[in-house]
Formats: sequence, structure tokens, C-alpha cells
Amino acid sequence: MSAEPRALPPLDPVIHPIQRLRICALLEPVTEEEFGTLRELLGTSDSALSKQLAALGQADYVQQRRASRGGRSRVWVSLTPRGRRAFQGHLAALTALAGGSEG
Amino acid sequence: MARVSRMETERVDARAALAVVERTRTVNAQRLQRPRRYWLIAGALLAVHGLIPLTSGWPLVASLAPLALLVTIVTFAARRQPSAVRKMRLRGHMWLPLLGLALAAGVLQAVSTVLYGTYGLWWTPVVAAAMLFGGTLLAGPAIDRHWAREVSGVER
Repeated sequence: MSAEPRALPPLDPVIHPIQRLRICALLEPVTEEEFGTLRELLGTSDSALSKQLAALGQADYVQQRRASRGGRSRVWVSLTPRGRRAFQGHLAALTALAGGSEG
Repeated sequence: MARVSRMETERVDARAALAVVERTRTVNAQRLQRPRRYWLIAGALLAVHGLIPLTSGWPLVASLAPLALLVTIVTFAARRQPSAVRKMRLRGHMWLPLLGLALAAGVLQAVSTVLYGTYGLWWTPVVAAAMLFGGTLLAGPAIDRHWAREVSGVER
């Protein structure tokens, strides 16, 4: 009878899709980021980004606020403390799964 | 056998995901650096401030000229302020280089003011202003580059 492999930390299914992982990685070092900038960095459309942000928002991982500056209304997106913890946990899980050699 | 194969697939997927995160961090380290004009504006502010001792003997209206210049620069900076200025999440020790720069600028300004006030050396505020401008232009982007790399996890 072979020994059971050591239990790995669980992956977060909300963050696991690559676009959401990229969104979290882009939001991690900043207090907040503009919706339009995120869209450009990800090379995606408004609707696709909104969909991903809605999924992250449902898990309370990101929040959005609308603000006007210079007569232009902009949407700002930020990671919540819960989202930051989840992202760090997900990275730890990925690193463990990858064999602890990356990350 | 199937389980081993699934684990191998997951391992490959995890490595691919980590590679994506690493690439995104590299992008962050680049995009979060402020444009050079930000440091040009900061250097100009400090340089004008460094010239203020020269105006001590000027008539009241003329001595307000540097203040007007400072207000003009601040107004310009507020309009052209790069958005990254407000966004980077600086932590604890990351403030130290900025404090060092501020301290050096303060000491330089104080020495120049004392020399000008005591010996009337008109060129000391001018030299101090030039040093403040040049120092900010050199040290600013270097500090910024360090900040951007650190918050992005590239230097961790």
C-alpha cells in the first residue's frame, strides 16, 4: 500500500481562470486601477472585462467605484482585503502544485 | 496511472499560470513607473523653493514671484499628474528613499539659506537650486524604478 501524497493547498476556483488571475495580478500592486486601463492591459472588451469583474465581485474579491475627474466619469477597480488574501493563497497553491520551484 | 497523469497535467497548468503571473508582474514593474515629466515638475518645484532666499530683500510684490511660480507649477502638475502617482501601494521601508531625498534637500536648502544670509553669497541659492533640480531628476526615477519593481514583486 503506497503512502497518500501530501495534501496540497486548494486552488481558488474563482481566481483560477487565466483572465481573472491576470486581473488580480494587475490589481495587486496598486490601490486601484481604472477600468479602461485594465481593459487595455488585458486586451479584452468592456463586456468581457465586466463579466470577469462581476464574477470576482460576487466573491467579494474586487470592488468598483465610479468617480468623475475633469468632466469624465471613470470606473476604478480595486482588490478587497479578502481578494488579496485569496490571490496570495491561490499563488501559494499554484506554487505548491507546480512543485514549489516557481512563484 | 490516470491519477498520475492528471497530477502531471495539473502541474503543467500550474506552471503555465505562474508564468502568466510572472509576465504580468514584469508588465506592472514597467507600467507603474512615473513618466520623467513628473520628476521634472518635482525638481522645478524644489529649485524654485531653493531660490526663495534671494528674494528676501526684494519689494513685497516682487518677492511674491516665486510663490506665483510655485502655484503655476503645482497647477500644471495637478492637470498633468500621472495617475500612477496615486496608485502604487507603498509599504513601510519603501518610504525611506523618499525621506532621504527630502532630508538631503532640506539640509542643502538650510545651508544655502545660512550662507546667503550670513555672507551674502548670492550664488549659493542658485547652486542649491541647480543641485536640487539635478538631484531630483537623477534620484527620482531611480527611486521610482525601485518602488515599481518592489510593489510588483519583481525584487521580492
